[in-house]
Amino acid sequence: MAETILKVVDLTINFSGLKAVDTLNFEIEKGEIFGLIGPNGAGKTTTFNMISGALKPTSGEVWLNGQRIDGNYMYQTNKLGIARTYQNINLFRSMTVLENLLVGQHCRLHSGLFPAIFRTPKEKKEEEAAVQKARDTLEFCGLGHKEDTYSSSLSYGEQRILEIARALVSDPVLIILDEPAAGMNPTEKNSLADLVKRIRARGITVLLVEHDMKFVMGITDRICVLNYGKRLALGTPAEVQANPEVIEAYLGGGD
Amino acid sequence: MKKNGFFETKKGKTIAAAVILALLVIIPLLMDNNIILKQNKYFYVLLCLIGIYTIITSGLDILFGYTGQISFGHAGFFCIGAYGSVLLTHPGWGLGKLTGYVLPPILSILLVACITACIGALLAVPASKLVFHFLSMLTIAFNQIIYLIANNFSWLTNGSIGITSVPAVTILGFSFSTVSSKLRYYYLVLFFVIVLLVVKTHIINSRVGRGLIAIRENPTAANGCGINVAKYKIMSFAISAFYVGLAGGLYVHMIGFVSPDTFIQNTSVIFITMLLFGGSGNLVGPILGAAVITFIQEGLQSLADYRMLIYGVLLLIIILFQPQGLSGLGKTFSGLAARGKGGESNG
Repeated sequence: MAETILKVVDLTINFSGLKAVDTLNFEIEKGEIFGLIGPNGAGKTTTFNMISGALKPTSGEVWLNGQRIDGNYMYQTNKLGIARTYQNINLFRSMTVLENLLVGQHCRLHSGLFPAIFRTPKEKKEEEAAVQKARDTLEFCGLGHKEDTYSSSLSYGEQRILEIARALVSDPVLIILDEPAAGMNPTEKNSLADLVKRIRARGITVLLVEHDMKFVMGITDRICVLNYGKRLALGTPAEVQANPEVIEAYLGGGD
Repeated sequence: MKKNGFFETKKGKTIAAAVILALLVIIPLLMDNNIILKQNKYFYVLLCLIGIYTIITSGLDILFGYTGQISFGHAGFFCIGAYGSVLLTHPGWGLGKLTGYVLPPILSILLVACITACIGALLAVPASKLVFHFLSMLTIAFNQIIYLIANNFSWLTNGSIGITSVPAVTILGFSFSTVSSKLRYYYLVLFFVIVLLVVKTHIINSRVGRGLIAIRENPTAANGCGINVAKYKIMSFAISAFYVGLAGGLYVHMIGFVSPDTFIQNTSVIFITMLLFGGSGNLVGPILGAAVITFIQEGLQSLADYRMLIYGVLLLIIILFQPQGLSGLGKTFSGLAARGKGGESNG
């Protein structure tokens, strides 16, 4: 059996009485593309926020590579190797595409205030390497020709790709994509699917939330279905699609 | 929209900076020797003040323009810098009164800058959790506390009367007394302005500077990119306070006198006005703002009662019609010109 990279144990969060996520369990294996789906309000993004450190769970545990990470801040989780994108695009809008990717490398660079003030040779070297790495990553994501463009003037689809590039450039072991295909046209969706597969080919595990069923079923290895904060089903896309409870949750029961 | 234009290239920037620097060094020298214009002592005081305000607004810009944190309390840091340097160098007050020993002013200016930075960091611990109006309130309160200490702790600060005959700066036997040669002090201020502007540019164009801008742009994403937002806000406050504390030291050894009135709330508002007027988030804006507002301030001496009214109107005009400040005028004009020619105004 493959190595487990992320383990979610009895994860629960209470929003003033409302259990947005309720004793959720799942494990993600190294190198797989894992999908999290469910109707609106099922708790997908909340789960993401607890894994990445944006929210503290009420109870339960999150383990990354055998290390417990729930309750960490996002910047700590990022350093441990989880990088994420956001449902509502969160780019640094007045920065260029390249600068966005330099910020993305923050946790992997080391120069502090004084090396910056004195422009030490070490700092210069690190900066040059960072720019090179940013360019390579942009090339990999197909945004190489846009490096000097301000991120706010990219098209919607390009902004989504830039978020992925910014996450990717921090050398994560797990990348979390929150509705990466939202607002994309079919051509963009195809190249996105291709990009996700190429990210996996680099040895990076992918966890994604997506509403576009065709997209999710096409690229994921396994899927976890959430409904009202609880796990409804877990399995390969074919298994999940055949599950009567899932069909009922999505299409509504005959009441 | 792409970056373009000669003055946005590295070469263009270097040339422009070199030309301006040469003018700033040569013109006062020629004036001092009556070659062009006439020697005018008052003019040097004005230039020194502009230099000091440039340091302050540049420091404020690191906090406000780059990190996106508002402060209406920078006169408090200015006060700490000024009084701090007096208490460390004056034979009759503070350290001199207690021990009989005093520090050389140039050393004390640097030391109080560091102390002010530490106080800035302390203030930032609660401040880093606040945004917008709550942060404004906290910084206003800070300003008030510092002002009241200066005004009421008479045994330490001589209260509202203030402290006179503050010693002049001497470096290696050279006196920078503003009584004998204001030109020398001008060069001292110019030296600090240049060093601090270079430092600012270096900070902004580094990993740390990108972290600060990222916080301004999007704190959530900054956190997700591995930036410890609270730590960086504290750092930004400390750097900003360092600049203003240093400016306080330079100010007090130029004027030779300190009293609490200089550090009232209005002064903090004037700093913000300078920054907004010149344009925040760039190198040139704070300089322009400091220069223009200082000239206006001096020109309006006779209208002192209406000064805040005039600032208010100016600020309103800038915010409504030129939100990027004076430093954004170039872009606005080139945008208008492009539209006039029927070219696309890229947005």
